[in-house]
Amino acid sequence: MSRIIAYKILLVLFIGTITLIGGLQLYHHRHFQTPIVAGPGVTEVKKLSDYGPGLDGTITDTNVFFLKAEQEGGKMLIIANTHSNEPAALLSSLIFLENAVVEKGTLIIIPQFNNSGGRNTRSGDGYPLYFEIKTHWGKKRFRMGNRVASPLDQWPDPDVYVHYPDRQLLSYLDIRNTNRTWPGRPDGALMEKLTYAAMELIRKENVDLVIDIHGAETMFPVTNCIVAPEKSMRIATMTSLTLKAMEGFDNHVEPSPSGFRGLSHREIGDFSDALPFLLEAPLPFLDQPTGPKTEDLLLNGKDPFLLKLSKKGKLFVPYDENGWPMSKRVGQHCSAVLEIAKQFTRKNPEKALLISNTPRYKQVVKNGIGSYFKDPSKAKKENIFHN
Amino acid sequence: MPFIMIIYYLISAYLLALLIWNFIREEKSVDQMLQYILIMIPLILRLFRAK
Amino acid sequence: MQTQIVFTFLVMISAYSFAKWRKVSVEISMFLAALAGGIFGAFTKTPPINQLARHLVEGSFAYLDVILIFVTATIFMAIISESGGVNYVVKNTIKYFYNKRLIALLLLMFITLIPGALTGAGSVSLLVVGAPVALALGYLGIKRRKVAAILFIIAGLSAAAPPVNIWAMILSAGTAIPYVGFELPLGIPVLLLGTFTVLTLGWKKQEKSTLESALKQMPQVPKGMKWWRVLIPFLVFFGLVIALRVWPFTLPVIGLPFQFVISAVFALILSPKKINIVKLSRDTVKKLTPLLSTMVAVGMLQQIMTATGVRGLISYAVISTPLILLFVSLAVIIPVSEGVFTYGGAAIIGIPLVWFLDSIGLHATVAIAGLSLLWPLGDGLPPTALIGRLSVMVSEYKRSYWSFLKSTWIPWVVITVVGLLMVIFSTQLDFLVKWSL
Ligand SMILES: [Zn+2]
Repeated sequence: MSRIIAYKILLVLFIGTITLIGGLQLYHHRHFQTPIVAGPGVTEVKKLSDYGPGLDGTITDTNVFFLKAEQEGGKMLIIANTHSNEPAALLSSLIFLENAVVEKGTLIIIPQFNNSGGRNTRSGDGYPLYFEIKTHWGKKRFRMGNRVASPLDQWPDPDVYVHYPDRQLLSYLDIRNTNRTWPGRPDGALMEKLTYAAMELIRKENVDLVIDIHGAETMFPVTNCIVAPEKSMRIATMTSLTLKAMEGFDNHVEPSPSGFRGLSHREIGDFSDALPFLLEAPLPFLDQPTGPKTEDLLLNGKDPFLLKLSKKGKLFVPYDENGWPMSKRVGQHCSAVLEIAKQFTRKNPEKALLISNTPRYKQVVKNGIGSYFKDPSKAKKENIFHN
Repeated sequence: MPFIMIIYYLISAYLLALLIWNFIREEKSVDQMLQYILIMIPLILRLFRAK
Repeated sequence: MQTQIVFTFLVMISAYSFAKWRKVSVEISMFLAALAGGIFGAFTKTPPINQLARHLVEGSFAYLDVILIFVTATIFMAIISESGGVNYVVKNTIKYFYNKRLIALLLLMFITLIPGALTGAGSVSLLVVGAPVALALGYLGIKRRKVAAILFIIAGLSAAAPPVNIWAMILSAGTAIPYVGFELPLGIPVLLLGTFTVLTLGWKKQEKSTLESALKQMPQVPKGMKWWRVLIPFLVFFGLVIALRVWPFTLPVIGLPFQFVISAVFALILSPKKINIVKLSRDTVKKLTPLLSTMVAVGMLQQIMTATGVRGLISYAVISTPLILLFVSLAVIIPVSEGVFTYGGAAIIGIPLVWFLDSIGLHATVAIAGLSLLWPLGDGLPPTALIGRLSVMVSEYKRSYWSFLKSTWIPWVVITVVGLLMVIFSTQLDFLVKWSL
């Protein structure tokens, strides 16, 4: 009898310790803050809950940064961290947020769109909890998030997710995926409220261009590309051709399928006057046949298995010993965003959008991402923002 | 917290209570005890809202 | 790096084999394999040692929602059983259809399919309706060995049947393919294969029996049990499923576990005899523990395998295998992976496999449906043999396990062929998915 009790105590101590250590690390991850330093262009910071109901006071509510020029012009919205396990998006948006100066028009940035997903981890997939970017003042630490929102904020999932308003049936998991819940509804699930508020922002602020930034597997055909619906196709094509000719990197155009609902590049175009674009850069970290899921793989994209598969022609992007460093991916996004603004301005001079003090592909690759992040310990307090 | 989410915390708590009860009553198999306690891990951390 | 990954894999296999050899359960063996792999991986910081606990804990969450479905659905079915509902239905099937063999066999097949279809676990079918159905099949003059074989195959098919198919859910979640449109690609083969099985194994009357003696031996049904007392809880459940699809924008998201809880409350109220729900829940959880701890251990194993690169290695191996060889070997690999890891097999082999099949242009939903017909066969293979052992147990077959397993060979082969053909011709069969939506 006493032996059984001894076993019980041992097991409770053993598993209890694992649970406590692991649980605390996960708890800290959820509550970890990365300070964002508003740059010289930021004129106003709002909350997404200012635009739609049901977000106020929840962890899902997120900052909306406005960079407004004195001169009126076109309006562009950049959305990052729709999928928080595709971090090139967040890093690119922060380069704009901390540096850009808008000379004409308005730039609106939501750097942590699915904030709940950014505070979630992906069970079963063995990600690191954080990743760090080197800067001249030290390392800037970011949370590695998940593709879907945390069940701590939206629980339970349905047995099948019925998309609003098309009634298309989607996987139960996708009701927490903010690239499946567009255009959303004010009285739906929390993530539907989130995308609804973003739709309201787009409609109320008369946004002209919306860019949703992502990353995708190298073994997935829709990668290294700009996804655009019919109405955005001209600008997307011009952007792709110009980037190839002027900056020398590939970024082909993929048409947004009209039969697959809930995606930003489909619904934003259909439910507002804005032109949506979705940027994909290769993200070897997400591929299945890779070595350990380390921070190094996330940042540098070097993997022996992918290299072998690339030689057999199984990847959809060029791949060599150098992998796919984060700076290349972020640089591509920066150039693509700037080029879309430029092409839009050429077609619509009365709605010009002029952005300066933001690096393009070659500069990001040369100087590193970290050189564009400001030291929060030296910044003015009123310029530091947490979500 | 929405009403239905509260229900799910209650369901989790009920299952956790049943597992603890079975764990305490288990008199023979250490294997079985370890199984009970493994299942408790996600339930406890969900109830504490860690994950 | 590759050598390190291969060694980590070997360490995990050794830990698993050693634990099994020391008569440790499959569930705990998987946990120990994950732990050993994680510790070995920590030597090269994949994962770092201070992250090991977190990886185990995080992995344990992978199938939390599935665990809640298992528990609530099984408690619901246990209430139906405890109230006498299952015995009532089985007894009446024998009473009215004793001389209409085809109808009797098909009805008993349906009864066995329902609990597994609702929970995604064939073991729930056997735990809840296995014993009375086995009795009924015996009274129809079928030998015990064949009764066990029928129960094993039908329970396996019930797990594959819609609406809940855990293999398909794991594969869909792991490959970002929507878990929708599975109703017909799963439902039609399950019904056809089930009918084929009960007819080939059960059509011949091998032992003499009479209706009177059969009815006398069947378990007592509590007084006051009426057909509507059994039917209403199921109507409530399916009513909720349908209502949530018809009015998705006016009703809130309820989720399967709560739907089962609501149905269970109805079953409890309608039961002709008083049921001690706390005791019943406690006993149900005890019976379910192997399944629940499997889901936790599989999640941990999956997490550690990914963090150490072992899953990538397996995935790479799958992608590099020549296509024809791959298809042929699936007939063996899939059941064996289930026999060793239970649901873990779907996560470890299945996810990379489906990624690959999708990338070469096959229709992922149909291919997943086809594959998920093969996985339940593995539940008859050691070391786990979860469904096989339960089938032998509830049918009270006393001879060797292998003689039971041999008698399943006809449906086994047919199911394998159908499953593989569904994978190979998935693109041509995509109309099944379209009609489901
Ligand atoms: Zn994405």
